[in-house]
Amino acid sequence: MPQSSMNHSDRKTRRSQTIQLASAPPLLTKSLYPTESHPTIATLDSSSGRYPTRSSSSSAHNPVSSVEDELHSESESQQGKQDSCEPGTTSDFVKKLYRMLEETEIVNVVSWGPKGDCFVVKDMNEFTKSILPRIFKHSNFASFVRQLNKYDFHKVKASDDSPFGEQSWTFRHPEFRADRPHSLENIKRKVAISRKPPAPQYVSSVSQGPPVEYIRTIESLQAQVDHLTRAHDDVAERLRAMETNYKEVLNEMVNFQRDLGQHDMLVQNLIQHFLQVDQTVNSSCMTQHVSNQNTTSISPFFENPNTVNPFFAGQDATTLPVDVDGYMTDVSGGPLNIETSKDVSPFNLRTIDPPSRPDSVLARLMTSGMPPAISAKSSQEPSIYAMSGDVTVQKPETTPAWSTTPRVFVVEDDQLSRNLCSKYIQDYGCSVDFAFDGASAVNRMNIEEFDLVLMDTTIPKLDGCSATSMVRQFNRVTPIVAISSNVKPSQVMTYFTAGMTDVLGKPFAKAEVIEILDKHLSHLKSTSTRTSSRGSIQSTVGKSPSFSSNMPLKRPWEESIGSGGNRLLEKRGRC
Amino acid sequence: MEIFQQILELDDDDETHEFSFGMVEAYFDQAVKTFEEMEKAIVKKDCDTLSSKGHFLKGSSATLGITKVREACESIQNYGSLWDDKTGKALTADVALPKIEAVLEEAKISYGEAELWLKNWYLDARG
Repeated sequence: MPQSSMNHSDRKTRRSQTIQLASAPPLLTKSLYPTESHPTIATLDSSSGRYPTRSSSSSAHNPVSSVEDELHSESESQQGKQDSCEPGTTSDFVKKLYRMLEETEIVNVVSWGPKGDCFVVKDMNEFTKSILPRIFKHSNFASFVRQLNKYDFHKVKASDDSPFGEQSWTFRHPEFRADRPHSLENIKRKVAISRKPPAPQYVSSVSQGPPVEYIRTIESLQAQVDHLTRAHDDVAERLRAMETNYKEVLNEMVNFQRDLGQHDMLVQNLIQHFLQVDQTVNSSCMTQHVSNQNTTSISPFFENPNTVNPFFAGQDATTLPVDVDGYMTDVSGGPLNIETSKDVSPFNLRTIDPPSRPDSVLARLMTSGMPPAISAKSSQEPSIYAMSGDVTVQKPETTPAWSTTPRVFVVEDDQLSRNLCSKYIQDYGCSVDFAFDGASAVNRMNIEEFDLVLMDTTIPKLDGCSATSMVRQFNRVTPIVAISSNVKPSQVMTYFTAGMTDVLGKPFAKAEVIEILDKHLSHLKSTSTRTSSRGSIQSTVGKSPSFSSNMPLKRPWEESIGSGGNRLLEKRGRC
Repeated sequence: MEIFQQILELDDDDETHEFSFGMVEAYFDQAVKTFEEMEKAIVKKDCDTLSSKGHFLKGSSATLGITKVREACESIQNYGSLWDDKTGKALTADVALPKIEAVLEEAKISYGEAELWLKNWYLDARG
């Protein structure tokens, strides 16, 4: 009968699968199912008990007991339960079961049901691991269930109000009660019944198929869960590794940026030196512009290469931090200060000290007269005048045209810094709003929308980083720039982690502020004035084709950092 | 000096230097007040206040580019936090306080110089 033989082999495979967890060696299968292709066995299977035997005994009852004997003798790990069908004697299995339930130590694993008319396996795993081997000499929960079924125990379907959880198995037999030990002997093995096709059923029934299927499903699910947990741990570890890498990368980028700035500075110096030579040659043209003013000191300044040098050096005070009167600060943001040529109106030269104030006058004159001159002559002699413009004249900064006036929010407790900041911002054409501490800052940001936020890190009530984290919970869009005196990469990482978009060092130079404004508000500009509002290097360099290579060198890098950093931050923020 | 120049640039009116002078005056007031509070804190042996005041004044001094005062304030801030920034070691309050006093005196002197210089500068500038 093909069906039963199929069942037979199915059972074998299933059994072999369930044996994964059990300690039962293959002996079990071997002894129970000697061969698959034994037709007599198959026949026996269907007609007699579930355990085919080697012997060709065909009676309904004997195979059962002889199988038991065989099982018991052939393998230790089998369910060797001597069963006697004699009345008046409880079967060993049942006895063991009863005794097990009397053990109080394992009450949390298996115990009587609340009414004492059933028993519950609360923790299947624990049960399988410790109790089954100890009492029943095997650790195959499926076999245990099968055994129960054989003795006409029924699994009670877990109802919704099952007190033991969904993982529990409740078994009941009418004769198996806590208070009636004597009725145990009425629990006998069932007469063999024909095997039903193993259909996956989730309600336990008499046939063995469903529970075994069920158990198999559970086991496979468990394996899946384990696998997933492992995979998850792997992923977590990789994430951690990536985070460390990211930190390092960020550090590198910051350093890189600085180095690049210094690099540019160096180039700038070179330009100046070359310029000196040209200056002396063209000084006559220069002095024309300034002759109408009281600038006697200037012509010698220009014609005398010796004075030119210190002047340039001083002018570009960023490159050589000269300590004059002890008040000149060492420019920490050195490289960036090269860009500090952005002035709104009278273009002031950077002077070292009061005595050289005439230079500023000169500068003013020059710049006012120069720009048209420069543009006119740049086409003819781009290198010279553009460079001179580079050095002596600061490119006029145009307040960019905004499509909508950007709203900048400044959170700073120090009045001085606040005033300074707001002045820069207003000169740049934006509107400014203030907050003095972290708490009010968060509240304001909740109510209003800003285009940019400059957040000092040392503010009362709620410090900059915490305030930013709070804001980031409901606003991931608005760029928040940290203003801090501490811009070490490790600290910068803290800011980024809190949700900051960028960092501005304190004390801030106008150039830095403008750069920040540019970077984060450029999307609001109505015309692309990016080139003109950049530093002198780029703006004037733009005029001289020989140095135009500098522009792409610096800007795309900065942009990519800024935008890349932003993108990264966005992602971080989302996490 | 350069930073100061930047601030000067912000002046809309270069005759009166209204904006920058306003800021400078505000700084003077702030510094004087802070020094007084620092004195009180030293008497009270309140290191935390000293540290925070130091930090506060440090910021403003840096903004205007008055380096010496800034450095002095930084030292005060560090000593107030019971940390010696020169040797990189921790300090006890007893050791820190006299140091703070000494630095405070220096700060006041530097401040005096700066104040004088700035006032003169503005006198020249404004005529």
